[in-house]
Amino acid sequence: MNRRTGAWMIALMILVTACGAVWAQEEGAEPEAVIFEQPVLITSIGQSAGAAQARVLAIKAGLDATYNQRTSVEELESFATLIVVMGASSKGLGAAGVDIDGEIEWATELIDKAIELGIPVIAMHIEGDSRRGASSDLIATTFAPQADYLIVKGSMPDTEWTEDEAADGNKDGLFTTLAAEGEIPIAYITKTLDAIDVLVEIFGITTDEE
Amino acid sequence: MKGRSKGRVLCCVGIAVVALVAWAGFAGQVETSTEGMVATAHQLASDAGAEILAAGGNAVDAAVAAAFAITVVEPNASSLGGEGYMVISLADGRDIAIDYRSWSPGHVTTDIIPGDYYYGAESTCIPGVVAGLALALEEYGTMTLAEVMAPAIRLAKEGFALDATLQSRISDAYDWMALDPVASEIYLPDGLIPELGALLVQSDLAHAFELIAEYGPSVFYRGEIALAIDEATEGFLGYTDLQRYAAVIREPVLSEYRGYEIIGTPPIVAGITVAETLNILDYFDMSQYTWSDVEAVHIMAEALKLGSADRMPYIGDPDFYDIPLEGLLSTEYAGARAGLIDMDSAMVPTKSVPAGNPEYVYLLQSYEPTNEVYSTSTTQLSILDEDGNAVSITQTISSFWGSRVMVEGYGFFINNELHNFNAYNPDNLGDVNVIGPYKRPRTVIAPTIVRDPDGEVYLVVGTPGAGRIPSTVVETIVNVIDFGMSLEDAIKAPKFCSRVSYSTLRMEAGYPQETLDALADLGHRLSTSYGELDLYFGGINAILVEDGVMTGVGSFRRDGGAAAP
Repeated sequence: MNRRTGAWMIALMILVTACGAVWAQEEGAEPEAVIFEQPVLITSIGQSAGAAQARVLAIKAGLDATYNQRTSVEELESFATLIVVMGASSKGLGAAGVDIDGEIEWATELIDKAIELGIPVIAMHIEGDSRRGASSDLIATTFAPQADYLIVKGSMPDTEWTEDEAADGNKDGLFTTLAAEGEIPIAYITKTLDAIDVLVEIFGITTDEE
Repeated sequence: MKGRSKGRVLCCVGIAVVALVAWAGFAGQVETSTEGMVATAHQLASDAGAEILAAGGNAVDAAVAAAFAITVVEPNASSLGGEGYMVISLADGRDIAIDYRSWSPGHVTTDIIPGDYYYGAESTCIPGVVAGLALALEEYGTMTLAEVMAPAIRLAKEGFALDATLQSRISDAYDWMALDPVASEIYLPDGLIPELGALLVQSDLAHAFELIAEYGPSVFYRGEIALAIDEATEGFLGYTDLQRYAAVIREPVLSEYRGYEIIGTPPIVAGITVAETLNILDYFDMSQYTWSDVEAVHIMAEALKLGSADRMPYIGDPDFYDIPLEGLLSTEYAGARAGLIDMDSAMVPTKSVPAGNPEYVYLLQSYEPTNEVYSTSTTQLSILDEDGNAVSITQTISSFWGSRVMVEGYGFFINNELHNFNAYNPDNLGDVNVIGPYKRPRTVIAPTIVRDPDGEVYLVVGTPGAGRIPSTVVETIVNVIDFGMSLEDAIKAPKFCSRVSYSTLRMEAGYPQETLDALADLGHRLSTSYGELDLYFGGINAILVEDGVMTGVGSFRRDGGAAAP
């Protein structure tokens, strides 16, 4: 084999290796798993009651969690994981003195800071169809793609939804689509309490019995 | 069958299925019968009333049953700790009003600024629901308290499936309810908002019902429940206050519109405003218009401003003030007021709508309307039996969940009516709604019954919706009588709100743009940020009778339901 042939063969091997790596990714190889650590900061995007409920779920899961309905960028720096609970409430936004545009602006700053600090984000949508609508969907389409994990109360693709139809927050597959497009792991729950098991798993919480 | 034809058939079948599903969605909200009808804000409460009619009870029996039941299934809008007004029209010709409005406690003085206390013990007034419903039953019903309360006891004890409306109200209350161990034990199991369809059991409330069913209202106003209310409010509603309370039978306000008799509530609520407004409209030929014509909206808007302008100087607690009812209801006075309506220009509501002087039929100086704040947390019940006895009730605890004070062990919230008083103002010594001891605060509820020119019950109507109540009731009556609309269409038609204390004319979505433009050209300042079938404009539950057939309609804006025996 002369030098020229060898060079071509090496180039070919490099090309094949590169193509193989790309093919592996395109075939849905698992993205690098995000590690969720504590302490956790829980906040709302949209000012619905979801974040306050997420605090209850976090406590039941045994997490070291702090809840602030509308947190600040400065507060974020003390935490290892950010949980944002998505859902617009006109009552909540009014009480906070903001409109949806102001809420989006504030949340954008928050998420950008989390990314900058390397703090992983869990986005939850746990109030079902009652938190779907123009404002809630704007929040979902803006911030779900930036999350590292999604927890959604709603129907899985190709699976029959057995609860009340109005409890299905994913009946149009919005969150399924967002997860697929962003290659974001997603957990579907049928009841709000089910989120406890998801949190236990992704935070790697063990009990004394285990 | 060829492919294209097969496609057309499948398309038609699909359309039919969709139409059937859409119709079925409203099936419980619209019912027809010749044997009686109940229309309320919740199907289960309507069913409770229908159950009593089926058992042989009359409209009053059914109304009391439904009124207790609604406190179970709509606890945010009505409770044993609330108040209300009932209008009864009996087949024997008697018309009655039962005032069970709440009273301020005896220790309040003009030093208290009502607006400072929106929630908590210091926002409460002595509740009237138990006294009022018991009085109605005793005087005009045929059954016992135990019999008519049985459906409510069953609902509270056995529970009912949580619906989306109540779940939403619990969600809205989550921030404070989660911090209240008494309320959260009932409404937030596991500390979370209950799932749709979850069984909501209210054992403490069932216990309270059972005590009332066995011992009567005395257990509420003089017995263990009174002591519990005293404790829950830390003495703000004292035991002696509760002992003193009594519901009152009054003469309803009677007026006539296009030959129909309007039976409404006397002061201190808004039956007088509805009557005045209709008296003014009687000077205009409204039948030449439709609900969406600019002329119709303009005339009604101006008439509502004039009717509401008279509330401030004249409408106070009738046990404390002499009210010129005869003058306010006179057709001569209405004619003078109607003469103020300019078809080419709108009156500016907060500045140029003077109250009248019903005694002399000339104008007073204009005044500054106070900024009245009323809550939307109210509920309407309409009942009619096959003998022609009719009952219209509007019942409330003021804000959703009232004062947020729950009576521990008895499972009900107490109202927060105190903020409906005006604070003492030395520059307005003639204020008939100033706070004082054992007084009723002024509100705008307006349960109404309409008899046709033959004297038969034609319409039973009312609505929640705070300041929108008089407008919505008037527009519904005009829609049916003047515009000839079906009850369903009359209720669904977009509504507007005009009153002297609102600086804008508030328009529900659905009015033609040319109407909105024309109203603006007349000088009306419009607020058009409301949606279609917007809850802001109330939730009418009503019954209409035509050719002997009763049509009951439960609110489209608030998931109401109708039921027949």
